[in-house]
Amino acid sequence: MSYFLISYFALFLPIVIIIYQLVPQKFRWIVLLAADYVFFYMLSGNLIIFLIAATLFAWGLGLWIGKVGQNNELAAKDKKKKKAHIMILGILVSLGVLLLLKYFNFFGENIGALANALGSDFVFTPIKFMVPIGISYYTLQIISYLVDVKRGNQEPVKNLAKIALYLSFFPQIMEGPISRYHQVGEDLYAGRPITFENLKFGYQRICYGLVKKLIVADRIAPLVTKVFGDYQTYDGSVLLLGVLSYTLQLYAEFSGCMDIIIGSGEILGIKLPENFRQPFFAKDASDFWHRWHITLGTWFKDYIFFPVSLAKPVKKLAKNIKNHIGKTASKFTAPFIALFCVWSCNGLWHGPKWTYIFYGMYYFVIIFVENLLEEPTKKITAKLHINREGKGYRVFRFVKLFIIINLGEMFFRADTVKDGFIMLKGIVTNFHISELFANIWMLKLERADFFAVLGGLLIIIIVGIAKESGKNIRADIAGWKLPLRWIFWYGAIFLVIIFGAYGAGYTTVDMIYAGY
Amino acid sequence: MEQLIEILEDIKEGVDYNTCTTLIDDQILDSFAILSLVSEIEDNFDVEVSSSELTPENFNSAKSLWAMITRLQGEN
Amino acid sequence: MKKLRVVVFLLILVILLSVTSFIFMPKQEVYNIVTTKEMLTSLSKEEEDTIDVAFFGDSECFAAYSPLQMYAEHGYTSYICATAAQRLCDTYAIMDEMFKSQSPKLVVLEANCFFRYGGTEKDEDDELFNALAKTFPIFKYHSRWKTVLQALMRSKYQTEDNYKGFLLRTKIKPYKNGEYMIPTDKLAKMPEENEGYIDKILDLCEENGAEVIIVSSPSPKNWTYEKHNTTVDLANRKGLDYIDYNLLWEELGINWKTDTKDYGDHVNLNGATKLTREFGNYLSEHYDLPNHINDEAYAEWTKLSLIYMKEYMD
Repeated sequence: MSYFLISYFALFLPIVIIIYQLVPQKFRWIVLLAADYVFFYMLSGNLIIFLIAATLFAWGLGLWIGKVGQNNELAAKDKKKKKAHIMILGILVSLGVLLLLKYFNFFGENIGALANALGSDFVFTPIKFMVPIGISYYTLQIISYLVDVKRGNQEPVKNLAKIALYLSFFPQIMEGPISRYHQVGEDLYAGRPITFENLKFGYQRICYGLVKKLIVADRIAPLVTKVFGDYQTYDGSVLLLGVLSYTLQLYAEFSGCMDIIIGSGEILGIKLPENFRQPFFAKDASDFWHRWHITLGTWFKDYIFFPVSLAKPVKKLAKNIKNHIGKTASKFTAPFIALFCVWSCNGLWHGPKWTYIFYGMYYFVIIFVENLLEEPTKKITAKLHINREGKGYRVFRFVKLFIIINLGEMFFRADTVKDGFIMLKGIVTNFHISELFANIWMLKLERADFFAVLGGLLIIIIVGIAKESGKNIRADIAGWKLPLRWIFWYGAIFLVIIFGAYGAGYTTVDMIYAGY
Repeated sequence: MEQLIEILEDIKEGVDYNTCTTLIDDQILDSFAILSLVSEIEDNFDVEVSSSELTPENFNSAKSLWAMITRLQGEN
Repeated sequence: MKKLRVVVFLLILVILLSVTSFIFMPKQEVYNIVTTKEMLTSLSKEEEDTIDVAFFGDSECFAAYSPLQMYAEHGYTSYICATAAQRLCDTYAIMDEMFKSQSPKLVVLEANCFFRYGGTEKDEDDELFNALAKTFPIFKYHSRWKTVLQALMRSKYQTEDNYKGFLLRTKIKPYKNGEYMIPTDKLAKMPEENEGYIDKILDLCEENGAEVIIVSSPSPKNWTYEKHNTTVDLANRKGLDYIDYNLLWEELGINWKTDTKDYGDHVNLNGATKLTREFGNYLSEHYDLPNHINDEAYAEWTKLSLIYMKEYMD
């Protein structure tokens, strides 16, 4: 099952909607939970046991922390300590399962290689683990819940069903968004009736997601596979096309999937957090990460960046540096350490591969340098009388960011870091535009495919500009006269049906972020 | 309170801190700014801000920040 | 009121799905209606029973063999019934129609088509999808919008001179990567359904008394030793003649610096001339083909070929 299959939005989702609506409000959560577990079971089979165990675990620990809080025999300080211990236990166990299933072989192989390099004859035997889908996502949700309960920002949830719903909501189980309990938990249980508006807007959003995925992402996918697969044989111009295409594919695919997911949630009256906000309009790399995979970024900010920055050893170090080296260096000490942790985790979270770790470090360096240079560049631009809001500067800013993004995604997609560097070298030192024309029809795409991709891209750009300038597109459309509105609707539906890259002749392209 | 506003203006100028109630929600303060703010608050008001205090409710306005500071001072 | 509106909306949707399905569904087993129809129209302009050799295939075929040159050099007539990216189902459709007005003694199949899916649309693995596609064939045949686009963009080819199906191109874009036929025992994979189509085509030829030969035109961008092996295997099993000019391009005297129009994808006129001469010789040596040069009935052919040779062959 994938959100892009017709069986999802034309069969599974409607069945859930109908049953949900027919059942009395009090029992609707049961319908939802059943749908969640059926969906999960179809994807991961018996591995659903991991999800159920994790649910019981999170529920139990949350209650335990709550109980410690009510224990008046303990002194405030001891209470805090005990709560922290329970939380740490929770984090270690849930993270431990994730690390074991997804990263054991990676660490084993690298430790083995290191040991061999040091002269040991240790041989690492990899173990094949079955990884339940969505584990990277629900693990983060469990951790955020436990930390929030420990911090006192979240009441421990007594009702097991609520935790189960929170950790398994079927639209988001595969690719996120990563939600917090306070955002969705109670709504999932409430069982509010489905309204006509929600149904309409939800399907509208799903339709837009399909445009992104089927018309753009899946149509350009064969080109990306081909270029990254045979990168040694291509000229820099072709490699550049491949890299740009991958960035487009990734964005169309991931944000398109979010549209379907958030649209599905919307139908059921669940407002899932947004994961994208026109990332290509960002002003720098930090801003980009406030607009791309937003829920992962805020998760790292709340549960790694701030806690690490405010941790006592880090503060102490900063103070030492202040006394011995200087104020500026001290100011950047905590962010440096915290950012390093955030981006190591970001890289690793995407999977056990060195390219991902490299990708994390890449953004660590860029974002840190960006913050380091922020003040100096402000001063320089002021001195040179450059208008930072002027057109010229904004174009410069966009080009700079665009290069940063594409370079990052190139390493993200390459098989090894070395491959990434070979591609980069090819693009910089061996670039002949004539080779692009010579090879363009050998990249698995026909002329018509390029037209479809460009058309889809144009739609994405127009919608993006409209959203960025604060337009509420769906409200505008809802304001049109009925015949016009319906023509628009039919147009959108047939756009996807006719121009979508699906069905025979197209291998279904797996959802990229479901693998993380 | 005035001292707090001064600190805020030092960190990021050009914001009307007396009226703004969306410092976090509208991303006026990014995470680097929040960190500087926390360390200034800790130095100037002699309190310790733990990560559980870093919520939008506490950081969205100067007023809520001030409330947090006085509460933390009371706990000491 | 709102409920009624939803019902009306869905009703219109179903109607639109049926209408588009009707439009997109192929009326016979033809994949590319546009090129197939074009080919049949130009074939119908030929006088009945005047063609001795009929060529089928894709662009590798119509870029490579020049019937007027062959006629000038050997006196037998031929026609290139190849269309761009021809699928085997289209080969069959064109051939079936052709045999109604022509009775060639020999059919030449260019092998590049064997490695392209030969039917109109494949079935999906997803059973639900197939069920839906049965009700509304638009879901199965939606990709045929490409054909429509192609039709719109191809109109400029319609006014080509009459070279009997040969596409004459003099542009030169060199191919520089050297030898591309690296010997191996491996076989290239042919789409499963294709052998069925090939059998159908062979049966049709037999019924109409035409012999069949398979040929591969030189193309560094399209051909591999794996495909060669698969085609040899196929030809052996069907008991057919097969010549692979990808192994013989040096003997043909092909110079990849001057004889390709698109970096080794297709040969240009230079390459086609060399290839046509060689293949024309082979056919007249191995098959019993007539010479019409002095036949009054073929005066038009003689005239066209003389003009052609004068224009392009000095």
